[in-house]
Amino acid sequence: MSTQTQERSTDAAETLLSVRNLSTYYSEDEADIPVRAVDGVDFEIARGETYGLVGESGCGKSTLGLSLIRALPPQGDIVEGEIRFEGREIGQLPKSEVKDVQWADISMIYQGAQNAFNPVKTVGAQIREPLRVHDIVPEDEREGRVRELLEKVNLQPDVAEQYPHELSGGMKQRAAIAMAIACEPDLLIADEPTTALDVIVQAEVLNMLQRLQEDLNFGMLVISHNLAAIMKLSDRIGVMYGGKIVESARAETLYDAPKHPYTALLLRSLIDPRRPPDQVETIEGTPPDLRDPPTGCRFAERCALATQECRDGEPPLESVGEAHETACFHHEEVSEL
Amino acid sequence: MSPESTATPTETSEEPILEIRNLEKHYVKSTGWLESLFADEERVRAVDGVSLSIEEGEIFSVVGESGCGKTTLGKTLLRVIEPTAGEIRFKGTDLASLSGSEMQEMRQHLQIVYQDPFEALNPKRTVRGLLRQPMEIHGITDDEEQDDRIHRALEDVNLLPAADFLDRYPEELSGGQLQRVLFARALVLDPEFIVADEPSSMLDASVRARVLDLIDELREERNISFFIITHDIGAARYLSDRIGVMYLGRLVEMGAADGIVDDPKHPYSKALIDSIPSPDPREPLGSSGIGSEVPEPVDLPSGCRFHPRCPIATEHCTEVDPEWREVPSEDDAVRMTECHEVEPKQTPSE
Repeated sequence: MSTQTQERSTDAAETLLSVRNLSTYYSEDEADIPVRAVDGVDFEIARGETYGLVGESGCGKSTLGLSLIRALPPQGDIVEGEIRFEGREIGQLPKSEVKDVQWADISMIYQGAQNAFNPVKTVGAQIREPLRVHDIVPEDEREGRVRELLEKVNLQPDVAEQYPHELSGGMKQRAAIAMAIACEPDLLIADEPTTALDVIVQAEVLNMLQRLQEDLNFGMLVISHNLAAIMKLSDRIGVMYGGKIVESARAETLYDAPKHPYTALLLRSLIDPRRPPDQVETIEGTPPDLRDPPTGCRFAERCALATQECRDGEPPLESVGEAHETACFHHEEVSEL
Repeated sequence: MSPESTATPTETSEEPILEIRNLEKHYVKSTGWLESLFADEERVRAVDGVSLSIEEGEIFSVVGESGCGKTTLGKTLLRVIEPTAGEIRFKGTDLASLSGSEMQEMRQHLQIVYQDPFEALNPKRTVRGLLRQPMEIHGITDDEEQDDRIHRALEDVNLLPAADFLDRYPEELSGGQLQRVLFARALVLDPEFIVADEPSSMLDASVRARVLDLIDELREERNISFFIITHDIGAARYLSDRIGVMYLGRLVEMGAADGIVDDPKHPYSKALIDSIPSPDPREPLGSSGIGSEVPEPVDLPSGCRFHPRCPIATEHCTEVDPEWREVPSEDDAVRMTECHEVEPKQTPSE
């Protein structure tokens, strides 16, 4: 799968999404000092590729996802940069045109989607909604299409007549996936698709996303703090810290030889039941305040390799190998950490 | 083991801190009045005969899917909800025999820490207010005593310097810090036993290990015993001495934490562990192989309650309920399970 990706990503014509220098800030009002949740991010996703975004809470990964589908809360604003989807700039589209993109071109499984269903409408009525808005399927065929979608996510077709409270958490998450693929989008954003589900349901949801992607060939952006899940699903992974992508590489490369100290620590902090507990390390300290981020490298304060150079200036994201970029002045020393 | 050795003073002094026998919590499912005239009431067997004992200073985790009864078990063993049947002994005292006021008194020693810090903490109270509240309830009203306990608790959960946190509101704290406040809230009462419901599930990987380390530190420094409820088997292994695996109201396997994860005996334990993805991207995604729909513990299947989902069930399993018995394991620890397909441990005398 990764060799395919390599071919795909080198072919510019197959780029599905391209994000350049994207910055999204939050502020309550004009006088407020903005929170620089996403602060100058570049990356792209090829058609049919899965890109994983991993990082701690507050690193900006969900904000990045919400920026792409233009579903930011009112306090959030894309202040700079461009988002090109199939060559078309969508970062500055007026609200009225954004609706054409949502669901049909780009859809999203929102964080906590299983709790976002309207309690007084049947599941079927809610899955039908994007079909109606985009008028993709004629009205008299929508019913059948909904049942088909439910079968795709291993739910009984008669779940369409049920209300959300009648379903388990795992069933609701599958219904949310059915809704997200209803209009056959080219890009699916999945924000924490397994958080708050128990292990058996997690495995089922991950397998399902993988299978649907193989069947339908959509590009996928998976956002999660669950490093193991991200490693499994993704062709390439971006590691986010303090509003920036600090490292990006193919999953295998990142797992074998991370070149950013934060990635290395993230991998070591992973509690994998098959690994003896004494090999787990913790990352001390807290992420930077994104209202007033440090001048230099944002990770310097927590980093064992940091020198004066790191505090004085910001390391750029640079190529350190094939399809491998990192933003660290000391990337050659990371393997010795 | 010779009869003499069981009577040595060290053995008798190691009385478990908490011991439960055949604990049950059944609910009557509400049905319409007409239905109730003609049908027997439906009983939900949330906890259906659980026996276990926890040693002083031990960390015991119970794992299982949502709906397996683990949270109900945690609450029932502190009488936060009343058991339907069975015995709960805390340091030898039968909790079920205590009156309401005696139980209230006892509760200082037995604390429960709930899973979602965002929901469990009143957003309108400062950390100081949140930590005072349980002391007021338990009649610790002296200002100096309160301040002393608050400082000690905040120090023990590493919210330092404590003075910096006293006047903060929940919204000013991170998820990891809130989780620490929840623990501090239990600590001000100086408990001996804490039930913690999903202490790490809401947290990021990087913070998760630190919160789990905190639990271990509290055990070391304050000699607190813990009963951890979690679906996170990684966390359970990282933290616990022993793990119990629960399915439809019953323990199906129990043993040393490393042993349960490295060498599970019961097919349900195996399914749980197989479903956890390894971080190595080259390895295939795991799968439980048993589907994800947990039956409701109402009309329990005949025989083994796991048989409808079990990949190795035989005819016998559909008819006869398996016995809870000791089975051989590679570690030296006692391994208990209930499965017809796992050979029991041979006792040397037979």
